[in-house]
Amino acid sequence: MLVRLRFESFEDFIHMSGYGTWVWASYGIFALSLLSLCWYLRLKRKNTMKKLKQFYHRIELENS
Amino acid sequence: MAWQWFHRWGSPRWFYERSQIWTRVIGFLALAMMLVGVSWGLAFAPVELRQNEVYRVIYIHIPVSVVALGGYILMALSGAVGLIWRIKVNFMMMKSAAIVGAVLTFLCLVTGSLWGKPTWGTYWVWDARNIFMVILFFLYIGIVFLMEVYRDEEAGDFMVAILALVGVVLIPIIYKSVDWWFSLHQTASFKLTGKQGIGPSMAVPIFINIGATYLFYLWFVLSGTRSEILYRERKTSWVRNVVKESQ
Repeated sequence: MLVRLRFESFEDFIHMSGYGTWVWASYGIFALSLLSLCWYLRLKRKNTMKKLKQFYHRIELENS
Repeated sequence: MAWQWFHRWGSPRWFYERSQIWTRVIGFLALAMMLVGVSWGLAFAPVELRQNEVYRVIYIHIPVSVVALGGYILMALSGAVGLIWRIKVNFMMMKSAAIVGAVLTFLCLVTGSLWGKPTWGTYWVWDARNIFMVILFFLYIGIVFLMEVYRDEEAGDFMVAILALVGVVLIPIIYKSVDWWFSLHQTASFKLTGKQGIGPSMAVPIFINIGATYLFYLWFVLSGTRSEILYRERKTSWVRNVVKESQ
């Protein structure tokens, strides 16, 4: 199994023999979707912490 | 004694504390493997004779499709374990699993469509595999919404687990759809027995990306479950301490 760079130049790599639009669009959407999932997790963690702080604050107010 | 670890993972507190290190390790491995697999598939794998460079879409299309299907089975299994042993953590895992599963199914449909235009001449055909993948996407979305609809968490968990288990019937249908019905889709490239439809120089990066996507799936489920545990266990003193320490 030979592993070597299959493109002569960076332009060839971007062009992908005329199929660059389809290949890069696929990889772009893939990367954006995974990054969105990471961003969602971050937001979820932040919102959970915010809700919990409000929850404990409310309990403290009710007890005092 | 052998099953002690299994019951321990069922404790939300134990799961939350132990999963922290695993989440980091799995996240790092997923990122490293994905960088290797994607670079290999894009720049180092040999060109395909008939489809030319456009075939490089398979290095993401196959991994997201495999994990969208495999992830559904894992999610349904998690629901079954939750129903049988009454383990709350399993229901919490289902929520994150449904979200990541829906995104992976969406990616499978979109990358398949982008691959289809230059090879089939169309973005979409109404063939069995495409239709059942769309149904799977809506099933995932339905599970996510069903979890949000119920105010009573226990009733919601029960209904979601039942829906997920019923939906498992779709997975073998999707897998065998290219054999059972006429389709533009090619038949399976990887077989358990007999001659493989794809050579090792092209197959290795696909396997690396499948591994990376499974690790990403696992990382997302573990991370999402950790936040879910904190919210659902908010009335316990240990969660209060976690929140206090984070301030």
